Amino acid sequence: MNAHLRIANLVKRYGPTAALDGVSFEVEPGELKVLLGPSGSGKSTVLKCVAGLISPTSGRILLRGQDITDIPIHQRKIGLVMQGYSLFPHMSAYDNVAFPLRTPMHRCGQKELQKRVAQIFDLTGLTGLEGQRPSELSGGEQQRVALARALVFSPEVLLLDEPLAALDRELRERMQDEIRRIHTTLGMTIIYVTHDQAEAMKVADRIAILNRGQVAQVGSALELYESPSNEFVARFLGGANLLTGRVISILDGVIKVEVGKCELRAPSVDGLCQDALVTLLVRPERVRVAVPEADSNCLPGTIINSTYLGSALQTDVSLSDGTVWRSSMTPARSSFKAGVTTNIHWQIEDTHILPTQQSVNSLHLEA
Amino acid sequence: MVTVDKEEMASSGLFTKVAAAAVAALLISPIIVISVLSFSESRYLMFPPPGYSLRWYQNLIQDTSWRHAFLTSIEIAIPVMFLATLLGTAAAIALARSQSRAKELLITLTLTPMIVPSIVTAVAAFLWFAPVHLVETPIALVFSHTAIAIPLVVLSVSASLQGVDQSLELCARSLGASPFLAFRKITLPQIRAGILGGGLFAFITSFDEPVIALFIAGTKTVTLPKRMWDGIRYEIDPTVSAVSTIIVLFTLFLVVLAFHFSPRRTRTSPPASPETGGRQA
Ligand SMILES: Nc1ncnc2c1ncn2[C@@H]1O[C@H](COP(=O)(O)OP(=O)(O)OP(=O)(O)O)[C@@H](O)[C@H]1O
Ligand SMILES: [Mg+2]
Repeated sequence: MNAHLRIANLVKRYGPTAALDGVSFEVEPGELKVLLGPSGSGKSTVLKCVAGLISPTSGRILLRGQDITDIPIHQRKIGLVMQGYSLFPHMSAYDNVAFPLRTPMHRCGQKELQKRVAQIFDLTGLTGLEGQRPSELSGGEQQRVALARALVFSPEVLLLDEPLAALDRELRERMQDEIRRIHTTLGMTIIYVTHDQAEAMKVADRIAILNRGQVAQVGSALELYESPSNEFVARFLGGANLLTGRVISILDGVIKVEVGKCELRAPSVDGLCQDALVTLLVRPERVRVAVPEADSNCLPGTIINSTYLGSALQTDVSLSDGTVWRSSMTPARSSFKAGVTTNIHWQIEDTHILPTQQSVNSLHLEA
Repeated sequence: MVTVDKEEMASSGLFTKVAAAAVAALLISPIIVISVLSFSESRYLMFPPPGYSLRWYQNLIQDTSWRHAFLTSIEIAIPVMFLATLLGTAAAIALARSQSRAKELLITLTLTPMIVPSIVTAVAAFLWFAPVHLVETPIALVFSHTAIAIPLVVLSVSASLQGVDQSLELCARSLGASPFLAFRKITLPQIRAGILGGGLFAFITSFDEPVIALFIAGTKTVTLPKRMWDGIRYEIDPTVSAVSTIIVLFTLFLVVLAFHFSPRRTRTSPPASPETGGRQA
């Protein structure tokens, strides 16, 4: 029971619809946990519940094992940067950042206040902008003021709701590094909400993927990408080539799966039995077009298009049942011609098995 | 507006100017006439005056009943200002935050005293205060004036609340501020102008309100408008016009002050110039 923050079975209903439908996860001390999910999946709602802006319909929030679900918002000692920063427009950057230290909750002496604000201005690279009003700051500067204001009272946990969504790509990447740097410097426990999977993978220690008010999977970027536990996660993080088939044999840690008239092999996983329906997942980077390899899976298909992207050659191949698979290879000198029939290949160990819910793809592949 | 071409501007400009001048003349001329009359040396209200003097102003200062009336009006207008500001501001905030489906209805209800003819309000106030023996007391006037002043405060404060992000208070609370502190530090400074403006309008409303005063003031609580009414009816000398002139100037001053505080003005002015609020090392 050493989780810093534990969210247990959180439910939030608005009328008949549930914004959160039983969300549970834990955040370790000093961990940067990313909440990742599509728009409307309930990410902001989780943060609002943790910060106390709204109260959940049911479920508990525990901070260091202590139930804070019913503690009023201003007594929670949780730093929050809301979607859109919410800076106080009538105050200078300095007064914005000093605000928490002037409330009875976090009050400190004048000297101490000055010292801490100066420190945080330094840490967030805002020194020199003290007198500016929010309307006189750039988007990136506003973002850092919001961050500084949430950090200055040394909160137990810091919550960031899409902190970089409004910034351009270059600035966003710089700020991602900066947030990581601040995180390592202060060793602070952070929940970071984003809908951008690349950003999630870059900043996170661990990621919790949210879908329709439920946690789809929790894990490191590597775990989620390499072994997603369901189709939603597989599709949400990067490209996903999927096929559904029936297990025909399990031998020496390798299973054979019958997909239509083809036979594909994959490393076995626990809990499979003969005749079970499984979904196979292959990442586009692992699929090669027209490069035969010994002892690999192979499927025939027709090239639909092939695009040179500089860092990759992206080729879409239509399989015999109409399913389109994508391959993303290191680019050769030339791309493929559309309409050409070919074979796609991939290594057995690059085939992942997802526990199947329902049969998504057809079973009618022709050999 | 900027894209209208010059010729059209010029022609419509001329017409607008003439029309505006005519309307202004119509509105302002009675005020000018009465101001001129106040400097008359004649004891009759005749225009143009046969000669000029300050005797009616002198008369005003010497006559204690006028001074009393002026003080009574102030004594009533000040509590009205505070009461109406307090209640009107609270109502405006409640209306802005209301999620109720009856919100539109509530807004209309709050603004009713402004829409209902003042003679109706006056009769109603009389019928309300008579059974409890409060007619002819300042209290009755204060309450009645507060009722008609509240809508002005509500309008003024609502206008300034429009520009305030409601989530800022929640944000302030997450940073450690209690609900009251969050309101005082975040919302209040942003709507201060609207509150001050509304308060001044409330003061003016009470200060120059004649109809309710006629019904309720009686002989004991004589406000300035009531005293002027009596003056016209029983004395008919230019002292009334001297008072009118002073009231016009006084009200004008308050209106200018109120507009100075009104939210629209503060929003268009820049928050702080980069030179004064600028970067400091
Ligand atoms: N006050 C509310 N009343 C009714 N429904 C709400 C309310 N707030 C949120 N919802 C609903 O709850 C769901 C989750 O909203 P939430 O703001 O948590 O999404 P999100 O994951 O943060 O999305 P985004 O990435 O767009 O910010 C949405 O379907 C939304 O419509
Ligand atoms: Mg959100």
